[in-house]
Amino acid sequence: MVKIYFDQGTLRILATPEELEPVARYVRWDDRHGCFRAEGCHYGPLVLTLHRLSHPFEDHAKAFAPQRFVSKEAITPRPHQEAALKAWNRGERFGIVVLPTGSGKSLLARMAISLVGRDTLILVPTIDLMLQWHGQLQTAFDLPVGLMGGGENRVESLTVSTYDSGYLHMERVGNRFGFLICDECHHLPATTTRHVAIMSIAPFRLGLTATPERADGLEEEMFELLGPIRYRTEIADLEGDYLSPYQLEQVFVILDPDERQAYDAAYTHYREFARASGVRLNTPDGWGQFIRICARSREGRAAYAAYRMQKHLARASRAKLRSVWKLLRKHAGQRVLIFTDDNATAYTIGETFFLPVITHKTKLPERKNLLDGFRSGRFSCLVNSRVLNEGVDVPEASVGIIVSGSGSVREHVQRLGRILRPGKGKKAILYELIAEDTGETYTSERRRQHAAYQRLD
Amino acid sequence: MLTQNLIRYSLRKDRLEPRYQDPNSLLLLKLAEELIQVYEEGIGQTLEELEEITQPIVNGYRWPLLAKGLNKLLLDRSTFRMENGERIDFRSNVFTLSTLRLAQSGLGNLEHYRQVVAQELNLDPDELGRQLFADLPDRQPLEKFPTLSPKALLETYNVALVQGLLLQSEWLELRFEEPKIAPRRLLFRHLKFCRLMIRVWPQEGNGWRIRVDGPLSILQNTRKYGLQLARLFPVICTLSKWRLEARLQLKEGPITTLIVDDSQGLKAHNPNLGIYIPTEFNHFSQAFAEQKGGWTLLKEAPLVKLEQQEWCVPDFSFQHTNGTKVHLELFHHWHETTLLRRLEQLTKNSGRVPLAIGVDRGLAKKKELIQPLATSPWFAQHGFVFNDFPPVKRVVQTLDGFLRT
Repeated sequence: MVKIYFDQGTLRILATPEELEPVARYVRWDDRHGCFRAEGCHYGPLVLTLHRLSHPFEDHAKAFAPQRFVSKEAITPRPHQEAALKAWNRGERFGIVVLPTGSGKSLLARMAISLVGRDTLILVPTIDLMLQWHGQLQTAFDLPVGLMGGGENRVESLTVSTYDSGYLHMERVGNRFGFLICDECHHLPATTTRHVAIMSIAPFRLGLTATPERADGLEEEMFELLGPIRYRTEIADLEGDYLSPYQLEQVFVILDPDERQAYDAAYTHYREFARASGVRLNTPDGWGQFIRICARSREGRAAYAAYRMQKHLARASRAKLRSVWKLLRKHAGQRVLIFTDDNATAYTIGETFFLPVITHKTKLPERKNLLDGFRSGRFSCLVNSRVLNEGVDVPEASVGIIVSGSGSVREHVQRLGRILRPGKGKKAILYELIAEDTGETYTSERRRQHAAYQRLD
Repeated sequence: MLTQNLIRYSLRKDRLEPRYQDPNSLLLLKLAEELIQVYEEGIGQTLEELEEITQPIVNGYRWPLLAKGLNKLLLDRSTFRMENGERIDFRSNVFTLSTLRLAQSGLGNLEHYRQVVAQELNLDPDELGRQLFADLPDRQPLEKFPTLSPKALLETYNVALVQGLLLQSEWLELRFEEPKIAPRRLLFRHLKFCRLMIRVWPQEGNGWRIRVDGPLSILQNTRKYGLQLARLFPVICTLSKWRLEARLQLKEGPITTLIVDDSQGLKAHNPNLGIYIPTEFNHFSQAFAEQKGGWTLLKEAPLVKLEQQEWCVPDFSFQHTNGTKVHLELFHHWHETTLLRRLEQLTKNSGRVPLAIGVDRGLAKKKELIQPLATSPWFAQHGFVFNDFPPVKRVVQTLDGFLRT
């Protein structure tokens, strides 16, 4: 008789090699404990194969149970949500759905939770998203919802966790859930994060993302752990009907003469140093080489300081702060999200305009207070450095101001997504502040390489 | 521990060599002393201020990465004040006020707006800006710094270099000779505590060879257990004679080998062994010594081989006046998997190993364990359930059970 146990994110299997022949590709002999072993994620195919062959087995691994998750309010899905759920269900409830931000991914997830009816774990990349899912699920199902992350560690039939906490706890709770939902699942293939999905035995899996493509090409690993893309739709398909219509505006700012002079000097300094050291910054390893060379000498460290100085001037110049002020006045009374690339700029804006700031340093209760305050209108503006890039639902926001950002297309698309939640008569507008004639011009060009930005307003 | 970007090493062929520092080098001792002094004299200064003071020392040193590493180790020892959260309410009021003012028309320029908001709080605009986020971690003062000697800092740095590399390791193999039971036991207890897995090959005399990794390791090359392996290293440094070999991959670089042994003279200062030893252990030992039965609590519990590669680290070992030796292993709420495995092994090898087992009541109530415990003949005969810590009377009763068999 085959006996299957859950053991720290793996399956410990007691059986003879002959008994395991039909599932041999999933298992390996472990001489440390004198048993066969398989990755937790192979529980589904392994058990299904044995079951289909009427092979007798004892399942001591599974610690999840059927549940009846009934939504308190009737759900009326939109056509794209209905189509996505159908496609995913047809695909053995194992796969990824690609929907633009704001198009109702969490509602789709709630429908899937009711459909699957098993203990469910939802994994999210940030604490803000964890809190948001927690609130939504608690309201929708009227159940105590568990939390793992931000100092909380409470497991319930429905539990929300950050990927980081999942990584820490999956050895212990990997067998507690039959359904795994990975929100913003493009994060999954990272070196450590992928272990969350490997150590979970959940046979049913749903990946949600607006941007499945990864610069490192590791999407294949995501498909292996969560299944293939079962359904996909883009911003352009939903704009107007299910997403707010939007406008994009680039605002070029001119540095003040003294800042311009300082910028030019710092820029020339570090570029000259790179050139003299034989570093070509436009090559894939150029940046890494530059950093290594900078660390070796006093001149190098001075060059690195110059690099940081010119970056700071481009990111947070007085001219940019004046532009932010103009936009705040123009959109007085509206809900405005301000994005920066770094914490220092976020706090500079907070201190200049006396505005709430959320960074990774903001503690859980205050984050919640600030987000709730922004949603309710108690605070009309919210400054953040990257932490609200993804997923966090702020439907009331109609204006976005990108004060600084990276060249990442994903980051840019996600930031646009923050203001696209539909609202009556709402027209979203995203401003991108660019310090003219600085490195930011090139950075902006790089991040706009997405269909959502290839349009004329 | 040092982060990967602070680790100095050389790569020769496929072998990694940490750049150990001579803890007796006058130049390094001077650098270490200067940095330690900053923290010793820095009580009350903020992290930002301390960084300003240490930056020229760190960046002005010939090898800034080394200085940064030393500085990181000092920061790890430092305790900064934690704000009590009072400023959160103050901030919330400021933001409510700023929202109201921003919604007004005819507000004028930015300076005017700042004046209006600050005046309502009886503050100067710049002062308000400074106070608003004054509770950020970088702006908190240093409260405690347990000092150490410059030499101890350099020795800690050398250990931290190895730990930093082990963070990226997939497995490690350790050969050691240790005549004393205590350090050996400490090592095996630590392995159990970290839930690492081992293959053990006892060698001649007091020699041992063990390979350490985790459950997933036989299925994939994984750095999942790197943190546990790194935490193990200070314990390894307490052994008499040892040689460690680890396989690791830095970022996406080539697979490399790290070899470290006792000849490098690495010394762990106050190693954080991460093992919680409840005070009840000492209370139990005292109470047991007072009981009148024929059992004596042995000073050191040996390792017990169960089967193939499975070893048990008993919590206590006892000897009866008639020479019978019995070991006791306690299982707490985090030992679910180990207990299940132990029940199987003991049933399979019935009678071969004199091992009594005590199970925490909370663990025994877990639905996954109710049936295995109820149907285990070994547990029925040689096991018991306890709350918090096993009472002496119950332990003696269980030990007496072995005399009858």
